[in-house]
Amino acid sequence: MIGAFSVGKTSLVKKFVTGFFSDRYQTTLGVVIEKKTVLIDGEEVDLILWDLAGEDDYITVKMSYLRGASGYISVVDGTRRDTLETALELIRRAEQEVGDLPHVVLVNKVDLKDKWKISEHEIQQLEYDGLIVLRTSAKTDQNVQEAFHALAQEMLARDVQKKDVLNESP
Amino acid sequence: MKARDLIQQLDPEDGLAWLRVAQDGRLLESGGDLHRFALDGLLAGQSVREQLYYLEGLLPLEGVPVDIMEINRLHEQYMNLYLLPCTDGDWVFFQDVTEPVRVKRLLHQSVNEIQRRQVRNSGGNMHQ
Repeated sequence: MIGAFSVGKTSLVKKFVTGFFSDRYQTTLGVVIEKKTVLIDGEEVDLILWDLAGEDDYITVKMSYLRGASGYISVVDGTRRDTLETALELIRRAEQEVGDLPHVVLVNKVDLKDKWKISEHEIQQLEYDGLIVLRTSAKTDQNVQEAFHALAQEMLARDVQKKDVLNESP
Repeated sequence: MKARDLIQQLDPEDGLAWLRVAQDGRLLESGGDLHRFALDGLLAGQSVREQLYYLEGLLPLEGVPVDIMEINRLHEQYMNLYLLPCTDGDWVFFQDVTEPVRVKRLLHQSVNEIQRRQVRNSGGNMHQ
């Protein structure tokens, strides 16, 4: 999980893993590691989730932490326009570090849609650029399960593609 | 590099534990304050990744050292991980940093809360 500070990365992970949501903001330092098993197309998939401290004035997300990752989620706070720029910058840095990994963009806090500073047009542009984008809310549980399942599906699909390439090579 | 020389320089009271892991992922040996990191039930000869899920994706090191700072895994416990590739296997060092991180977190939380208030007052944009 990458993104600017206070976009809701930890809340999304907590909601997904435990089902609970708290309005109380708690800064994440370093990395919090959680595990959840999901069922994708009848197959059990263990997701090891690394919730990384958000990028802010004092913390730069260490892209080396993506080493060994099968995919990542970048989170944007729909009510803070600059968090979209941060997310796009982090995606660019992630691609530099680990190449083209499966990833999903979450525009979070859809429960505050009337306060969003990011337009539907901008989100559609991201989708047009090939990104998988979901509008989420850890508070109302909108698209939380779907977000992690979407990433898991992308990762599995990529795994199948890799195996196919290996089988085809002489 | 010889990790054993490093172990000899470390004080057991420093809140450290270590694992030595084979290239195929089997745990070869462990030592230090294992209980502090809930590592005391690990089985030598078994896959480390299967016993410690949070090491998934990190091993084998393939010659590249890795350090991961301020991992929160156990309730309220923070640790630094240092993974060192050596000739006799990959070594994983665990360092307890709970207390310094607790202080840093309190301070960082205060900074971020001020910034969150400023964001709300400015109508949603951060000017960093």
